[in-house]
Amino acid sequence: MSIISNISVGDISYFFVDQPPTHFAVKGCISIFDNFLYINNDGANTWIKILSPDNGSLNLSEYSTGVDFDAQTIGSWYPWNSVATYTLGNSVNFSRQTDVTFGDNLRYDGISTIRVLVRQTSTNRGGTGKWMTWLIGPAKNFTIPDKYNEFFVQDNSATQNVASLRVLELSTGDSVIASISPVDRENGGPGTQRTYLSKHSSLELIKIDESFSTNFFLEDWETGSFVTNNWNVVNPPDPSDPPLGIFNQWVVGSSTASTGFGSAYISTDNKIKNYEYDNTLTTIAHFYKDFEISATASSIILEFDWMASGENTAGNAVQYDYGAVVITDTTVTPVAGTEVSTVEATGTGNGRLAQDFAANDGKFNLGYGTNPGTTWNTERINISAYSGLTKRLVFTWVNDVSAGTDPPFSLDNIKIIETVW
Amino acid sequence: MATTNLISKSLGGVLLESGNGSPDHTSPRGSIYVDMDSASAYQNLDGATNWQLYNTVAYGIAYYQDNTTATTISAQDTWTLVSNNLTLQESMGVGVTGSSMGILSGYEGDYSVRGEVTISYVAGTNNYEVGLSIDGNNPGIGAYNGTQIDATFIRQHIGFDSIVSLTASTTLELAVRNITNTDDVIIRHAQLFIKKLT
Repeated sequence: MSIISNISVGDISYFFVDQPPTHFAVKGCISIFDNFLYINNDGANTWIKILSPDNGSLNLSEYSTGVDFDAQTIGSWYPWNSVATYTLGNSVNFSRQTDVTFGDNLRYDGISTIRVLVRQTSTNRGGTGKWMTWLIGPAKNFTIPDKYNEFFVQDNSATQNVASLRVLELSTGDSVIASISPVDRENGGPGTQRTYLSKHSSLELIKIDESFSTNFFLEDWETGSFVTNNWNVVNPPDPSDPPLGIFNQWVVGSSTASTGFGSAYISTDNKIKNYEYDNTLTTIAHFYKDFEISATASSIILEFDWMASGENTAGNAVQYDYGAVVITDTTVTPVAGTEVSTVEATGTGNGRLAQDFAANDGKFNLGYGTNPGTTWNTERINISAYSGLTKRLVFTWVNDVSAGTDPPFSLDNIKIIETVW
Repeated sequence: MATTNLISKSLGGVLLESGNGSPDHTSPRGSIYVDMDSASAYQNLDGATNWQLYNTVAYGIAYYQDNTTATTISAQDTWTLVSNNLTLQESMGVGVTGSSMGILSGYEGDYSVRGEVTISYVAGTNNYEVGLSIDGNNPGIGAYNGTQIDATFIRQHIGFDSIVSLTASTTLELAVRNITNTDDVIIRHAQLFIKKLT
């Protein structure tokens, strides 16, 4: 971290810095990094971030339509009330949305990834003469909450109130709902008696932290080549004698791009005009680069845009022509004709990477993503486990000697995104 | 406390200021004032004497779920610390040791504390109270609430809010007492959240 400049006001200084502040200063000094203010809290080097307010709430009161407890499965989670219209409280960067299945929810509309304190406070009333118990807790994106509290209602003469706290990380478009899970109900009696009312509820979200993300690395191929942009390329040998340059090889060119004009792709000629491959030539080709992965970021994402068709068996059970992305040690030198790894990278180990490895076995082609033969897909892979390590990222194209459909593998906007809280 | 030792420097149409105490002086709208005593920053809202305190980021949430171990009640009306271990999740400047929560050195200040627990039946019909213990002491006035459970109403919720001044040596724990009898109780679920205010 470096201090770019500073202004003194008596004993207090306002510092402009190029990283989150770590320097010693007088208590109360302000440091400005990116779009964040920090204030020195101890006269030493503890700096506390200053936040703008983001908050929102959904509220529902005096609801009077019963829910059939018998229609719910013990241990499953449900929206606290999926049919009512909630009232949106005063909100900054949050809005009320309605989901067909889950009902009203509170959506985060801000730009930065934030952490919010979420508090669900709910009152339920029991059915006729039958006791019931529930868990309640706020749910992010309609998934099961990991923090909840529990309450019991005897019958329709009783109401009980319960509250639960969670801290959630929210990115743009994430939603939160109030949710409920039946734990137990009294046996016997007509099922119609086992109803309850979701009577009152408040869902309150208050921002408590905001992250900043930086593109530690960005390769968009808008300028330069593999060589000038410090990538290493391992293409197969030219099969022709004398060499004609007509074989499957990695090139940087403008025949396709996710954004802008350039990308890296497999081409059948070294004039880089053709975004296609020859499926009669067996190919394993790579390009790679070494990265020192941050030791201080709380989240590290490898992101890239990709396109590929290739070849699979029916039902995608076996892949023949595909792309692969491998993380490995810097001592491993990729060789044309050989895959660097065919196993999944786990922990801090070497291997293939994918956002959903189970879905594609680390192979990028027509069997993965959304229409990847005609549409660019964006892959986001969490590589936080490699924090503090220097690793080699290898991008590979593989095709066998028969069949296969264009286009082959193309890559654009390769990013390593580091998030710091 | 009123502003003292005010020093101002002009930066375009606003002032960058420092002093001691909460701001009660007039400054141009948008001016920033730092209270050196509390390390708090304020921004002037109206060109008069109204100032908005900036939120600062120090917080932590600790919790456990589905505990089945009872807390032993040795005497009626006597507070007992809840010894179940807490797990710290998202945090900034906050730590957890065993069943206690606290702030790290350098993050001193005034904090909002919220607790939410579920208590679970062991025996009898009893009214229990659960609250915030600071440094092992009994919960103070306003820092606890209560409910009744019995063999039918086997689980109920208790929540509490409080604002406390914390130093790095301060410990925060849950405490429980039985104000009816001496039957034990299970603190089944618990969430304890703190956030720095100033």
